[in-house]
Amino acid sequence: MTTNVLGLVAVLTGIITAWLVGIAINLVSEQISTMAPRWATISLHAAARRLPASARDRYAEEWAADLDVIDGPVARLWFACRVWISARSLRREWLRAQPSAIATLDLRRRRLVSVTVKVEDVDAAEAVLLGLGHRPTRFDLSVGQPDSPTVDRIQLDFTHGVTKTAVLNDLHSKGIEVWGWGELVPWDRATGVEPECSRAEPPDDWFFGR
Amino acid sequence: MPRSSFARTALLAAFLEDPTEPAYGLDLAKRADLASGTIYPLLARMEGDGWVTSEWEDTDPVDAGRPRRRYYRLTPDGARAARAELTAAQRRIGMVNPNAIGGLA
Repeated sequence: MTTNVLGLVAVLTGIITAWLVGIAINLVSEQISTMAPRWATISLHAAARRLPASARDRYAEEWAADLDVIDGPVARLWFACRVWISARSLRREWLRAQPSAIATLDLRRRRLVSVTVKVEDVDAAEAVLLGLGHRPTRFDLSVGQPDSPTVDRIQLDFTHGVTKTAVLNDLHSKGIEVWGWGELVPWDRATGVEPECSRAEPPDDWFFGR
Repeated sequence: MPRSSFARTALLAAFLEDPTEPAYGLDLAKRADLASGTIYPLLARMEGDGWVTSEWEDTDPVDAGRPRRRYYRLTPDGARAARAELTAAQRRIGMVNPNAIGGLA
């Protein structure tokens, strides 16, 4: 008798559990279906933000158009996730393909002044090579032009006193993104007097953007 | 010649199905049977190498009711190089049949 009751309770418990699990799965899948479009959009925006500024608008629009073709919220979310994952690789390819803006300038008669730079994604090993004991931040660097400039060669003046000369494209090939803005102004090398930078915000036609 | 890979070879083959027909990224990914995320870095590299050009479709997003698509097309140099790379890839895997590649003969 007791065994029969226990068996009945076990069967009922199993049925109720299966029913509850079914409801939970249904709720979760409904929730995912409801949220997936928004998550997909957020993922694509996040992916675009991983790209250089010059590529963001283009790919954001391109991805939005491709997303529009896909049927089903989960498939769309999957697409957006894959795009986000590949954004770093895309950024590398984009940077590799773009001619350096600074390479087109005549650096012999002008000098880069008051540049704000941002350095991203420098791994620990690279930070050591650059003479830093920690992961570089935008406050660690200013970019200047060496006294004997060559095209695309920049001088990195670290706030802790170390100066390094680097080739811009070498930095990019190592996955280091350097971007900044500033003014190119006439500079009298005879007197060595540097002009002051008058801008507080990046100009619309910033000459040095990555 | 750029380093080849399965994904790259698949993409080139998809392009060569109809070299003159422009295609957007997701369409190429489907034709090449590639993951959607893989296609954009590959296209960016090919564009940087001059194998591919891209342009926005000539349509108004408001009229079309959807965002503009970015269409990719092989350049003449890219088509030649792609055929050569595909032929080389086929030889590497023992499928020596250059005539199987559209337009090679």
